[in-house]
Amino acid sequence: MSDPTNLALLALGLPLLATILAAVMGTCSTLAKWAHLPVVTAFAGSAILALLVLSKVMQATGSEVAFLSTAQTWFHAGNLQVDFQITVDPLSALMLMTVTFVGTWIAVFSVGYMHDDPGYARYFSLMALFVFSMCLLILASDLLLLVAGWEGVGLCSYLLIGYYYAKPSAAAAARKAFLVTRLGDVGMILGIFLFWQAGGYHTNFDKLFAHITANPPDSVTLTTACLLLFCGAIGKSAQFPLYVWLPDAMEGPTPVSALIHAATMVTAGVYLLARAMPLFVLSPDAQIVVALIGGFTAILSAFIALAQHDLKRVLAYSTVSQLGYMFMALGAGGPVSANLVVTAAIFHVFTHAFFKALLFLSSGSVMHAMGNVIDMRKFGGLRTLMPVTHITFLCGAAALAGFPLLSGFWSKDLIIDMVYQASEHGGSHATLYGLVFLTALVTAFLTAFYTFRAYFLTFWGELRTPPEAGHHAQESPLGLLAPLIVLAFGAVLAGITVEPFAHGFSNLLVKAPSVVLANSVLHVEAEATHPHFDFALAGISTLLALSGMALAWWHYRTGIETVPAALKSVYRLSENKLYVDEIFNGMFVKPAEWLAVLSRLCDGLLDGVARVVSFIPRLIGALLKPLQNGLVQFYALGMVLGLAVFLTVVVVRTSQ
Amino acid sequence: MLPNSEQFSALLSTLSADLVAFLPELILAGGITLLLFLRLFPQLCRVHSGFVAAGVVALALTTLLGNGHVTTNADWEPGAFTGLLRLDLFSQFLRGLLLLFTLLLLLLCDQTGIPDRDDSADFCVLLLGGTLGLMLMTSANHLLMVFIGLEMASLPSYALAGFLKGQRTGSEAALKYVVYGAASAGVTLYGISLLTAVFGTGNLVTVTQGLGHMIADSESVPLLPMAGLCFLFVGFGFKLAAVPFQFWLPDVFEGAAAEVSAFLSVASKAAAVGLTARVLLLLQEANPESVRLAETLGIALAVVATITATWGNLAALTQTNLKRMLGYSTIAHAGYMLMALSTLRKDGMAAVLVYLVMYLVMNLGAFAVVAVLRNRTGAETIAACRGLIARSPAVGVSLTIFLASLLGLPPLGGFVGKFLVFSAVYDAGQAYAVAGSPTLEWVYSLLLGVGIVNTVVSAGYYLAVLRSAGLDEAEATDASGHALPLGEPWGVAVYLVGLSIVLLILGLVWNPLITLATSAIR
Amino acid sequence: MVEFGFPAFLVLSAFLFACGLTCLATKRNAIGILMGVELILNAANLNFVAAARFVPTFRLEGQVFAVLVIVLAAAEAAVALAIFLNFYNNHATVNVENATDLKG
Repeated sequence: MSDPTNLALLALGLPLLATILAAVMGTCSTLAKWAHLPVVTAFAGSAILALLVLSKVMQATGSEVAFLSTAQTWFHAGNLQVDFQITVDPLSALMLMTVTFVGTWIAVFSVGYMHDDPGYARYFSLMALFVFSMCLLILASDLLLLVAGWEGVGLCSYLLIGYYYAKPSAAAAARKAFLVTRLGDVGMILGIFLFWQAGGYHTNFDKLFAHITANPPDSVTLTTACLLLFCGAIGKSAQFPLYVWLPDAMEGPTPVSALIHAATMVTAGVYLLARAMPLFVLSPDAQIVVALIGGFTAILSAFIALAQHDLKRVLAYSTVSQLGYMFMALGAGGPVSANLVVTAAIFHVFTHAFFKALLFLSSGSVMHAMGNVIDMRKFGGLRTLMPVTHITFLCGAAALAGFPLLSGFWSKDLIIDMVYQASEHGGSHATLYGLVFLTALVTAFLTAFYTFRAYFLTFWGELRTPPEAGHHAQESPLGLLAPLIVLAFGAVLAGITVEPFAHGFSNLLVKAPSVVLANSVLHVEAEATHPHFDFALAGISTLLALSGMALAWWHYRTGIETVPAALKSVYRLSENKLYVDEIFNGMFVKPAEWLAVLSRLCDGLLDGVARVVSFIPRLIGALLKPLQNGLVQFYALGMVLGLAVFLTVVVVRTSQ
Repeated sequence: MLPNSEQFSALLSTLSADLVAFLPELILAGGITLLLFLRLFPQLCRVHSGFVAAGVVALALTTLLGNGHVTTNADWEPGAFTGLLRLDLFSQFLRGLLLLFTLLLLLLCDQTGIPDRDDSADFCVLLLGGTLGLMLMTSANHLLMVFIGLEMASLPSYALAGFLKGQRTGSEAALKYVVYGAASAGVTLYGISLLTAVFGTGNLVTVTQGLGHMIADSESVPLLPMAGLCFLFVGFGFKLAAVPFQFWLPDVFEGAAAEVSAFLSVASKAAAVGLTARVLLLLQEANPESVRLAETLGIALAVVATITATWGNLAALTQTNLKRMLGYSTIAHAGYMLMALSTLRKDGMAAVLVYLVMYLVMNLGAFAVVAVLRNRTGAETIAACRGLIARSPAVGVSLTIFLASLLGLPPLGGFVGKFLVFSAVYDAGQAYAVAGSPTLEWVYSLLLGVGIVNTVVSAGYYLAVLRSAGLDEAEATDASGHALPLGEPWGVAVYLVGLSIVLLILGLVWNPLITLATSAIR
Repeated sequence: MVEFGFPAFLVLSAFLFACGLTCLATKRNAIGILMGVELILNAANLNFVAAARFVPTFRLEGQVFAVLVIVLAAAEAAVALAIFLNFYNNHATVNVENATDLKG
């Protein structure tokens, strides 16, 4: 099989098959507890296939590498032609590999974590559907097919976040996630409409990009369409102001959080922007907005993460913050060549997938041992109790904090470098990019601080366990630890083996068609632009990371949180998430409620009108009733009269 | 006219090819004989005749599919058997549809057990006989075959309508059906006699070409052929239950068993639509350029379609019996199909074919749910649906899907059908405007509006059932107030869920179907 | 002996047809209705045989039509009578005015 699209289709199909199998197994109580088998097997199979696909893509030569499956018409209406077709190019191959690989280990972890849960089969079936939707989103050659995957991801996230649906908070979180991301999706659909109109009625990526870059619409349309498309990414990838769903989303089972944060959902927005890079580089205004939103989200959520008590919540805000980094990188595209920013963003997606999955699964392991308690005030000093989890969490935390030579260090450094370069060549937006650059540096410091605060609070100081854990709180079983160990290796090594010296990503991504096109729009010679390693910047960010960690050590090494009096107000601000939820509540929810009351009044009025209007058909229907009186002669008379009418018409028409 | 010897030998040479193309019908006929003979041997009484019949239909279906697209007898007359039948892709499509439906219906009957063991053989014979007649209708290329097909389809249907022998309503339904059916057959035959007398032959191609030229070319059309055409369409209108020939349908549907109603509602309708579409297509092919055909026939059909859809939907609003409501919904759907037929354009006909496929699945499903309700609760009223989703998720959710599809909600098959029909009507308006007839543009725009308003009205009764099934408390509860399970056999649940899944798939992937329908119309 | 033309037969059959329709719409006895149907069928049949006589190309076809129609009419009558009998079993009458259980 020389054509990797067949392999990719298989990698796409396996999770779908697993979904169905797991769902069917769920109907039978004896089979239900084996529901993980098809799912884990399918994920592992997909991961191996994805690796094969990646190797095929790496072997392919030429300045542009893309394999397209044969297009099957999905539907066709007027000038809207949508094909079912998948694209295997460096971008999709890398994402596919990341998603399936990390997904596999999360599924393995889930086997131990979710055992004896009554909804075991439902859980695994949905996991598989989640990964399938994400793979569809990644492989789609068509905007609308991507939307299909996008909606699938949204649906599955709703179902999985609300997995414990009997718990009101879980149901509310699920609803919040669905509705908030839906807000962004509305924008995205509008953006797609605009591009469809401006792009010669194409929804196929290649055709659309080719058309738009050849005949760019006026800058207002373009910027509007780009920003509307970005709205979708803001919702799915939890950027300001729509990030509010993500921290609540940990109401779902912990492995689901790992899946959402690391692999399947939040990276969708980053991927969308990376794929649509040729459109975004055409509009510098849209790009600076992307970078600014990314920067603002990064620092805002890093600040909120400083004082959270819930371990998973700290991690959730760190995800929002890291996603902000990715958007900063993507927003730098334009001043900096496209292949570099896409490399930086996707590289960060890749390393982040490892260390964030690791951190979530480690915190899941902690939660498992602590009897489902996750409040850091209630436990501490766990390093002697859970040595393996301690080490793996430390690996993940160090990677997230940007400790030198670990994976997060390289990818974050690359992003900071991108933003720095953008501030040097940013043209009219140079100052703004400079601001983003400063934000990135400050966020790096905050990240190191809050990550290690969480680490010290959990693992250092005297051993404390909550009463829920009982007296036999102990290290998790091997089934849970194995994925942690594998992912820990990934978190440590995933960076240095790829970038910035081996150029594993940049050499590949420079061949992705959309990147090539974006570069040609920017008139950039792709060969000349490998990411280089800037020792001065690396030095600064190392210093910031180390000082953040040192500060955390100095303050939290006892494992007990004390707040200096001078910082109380700031602490309170962070603890209460900058009152963003409250502000939103006041700004949007309350007015919406008033509006609802007002609408209710109008509704009553309109309802009356509607009742009257809808009564009319019913009335006529009732009038027809006596005509169907069941009398044979009456029916016959009706038909004969009908016949007579037709005959009269014929006679009249023919005698004219 | 007798064929001369040359033509006769040509005929003989194509006979074997014709017989191969006709094999599905021959298999059905053989199956009917087999079923009748089985009763002679008491030892064989244990053989379940439903399964034998299903096997026969399955065999016929595979033969049909295996035939590929056989078109026979290009040399002498277009059409098989000296031009009596036309076994082209169009008839292939509809015959396949009919066989598929009969197969599904037999499987349903096996689950619901409506013909009891003693009557099963009779029921199956009637069903297969009716199917055979309907298949002849869809492939008829001669007015004689049209009539024979109509009668062969009708006679077993009359008997089927009264199959539940001890029931007052059943016998009343059969009485009404046979009286009006026979009368409309007579009217059709009278129309045929006028047409054949004018054109000197019953060959459908010759007749339609003659008619088409008359309508298109001459200023005033002679009365006799037009009256003949009018009578012919009255007969078709009866089968389709177009207003004002719809009176019989609700009564018959209410009185007959749900399975029989499903047969009348889907198979009978599919064949009637197919036959009408064939005649209209031939008329249109006789003078493809003219808008006069649309100005005479198209407008008349559009008016009938409007009244039919509106009547069906309005009358359905006040129904309390589920089967009767579905009867009125059948009338409304006939109206939608007539809208597409009234365009007199190929894409309209293709839209109708796709619509029929969707209609087959969703209407069969809806009647199957009625049959289950009748078996488990003894009632066929909308009230019997109360709390259905709580009582049986499989049946309740399937009913939801079927009714939502009948209403035309995406992403279900019914939406696709309705969408295609409406877009065909819209396109027709545009095309006729280009061809220089603003009247027609106006007519079709109005027709489109009527269709959309009707869809909105139809929500009134479909959603009422769904509300009852989903939100109302079940009447049958156990001591603690929980809804009693419906207790349907698992085979029925699998059957219904399977149909819903098919409907969902058809609603998502419909392009192959359109391609098939378009190639069938050519 | 007067030779009647084709139009005369057409008029006669139209008259028969109208009689049939009237019979259909007015008779209360199911058998009477069936007779009306037979009248209609025979009106058509009259057309067929007349056309076979007067339209040269239709000579053979018209007769085939007529014969087949007779057969089918017989079959139809048989089924209809069986159904009437069934109705009689349930209602003890063949008066169609009693068939009003189904309405609305």
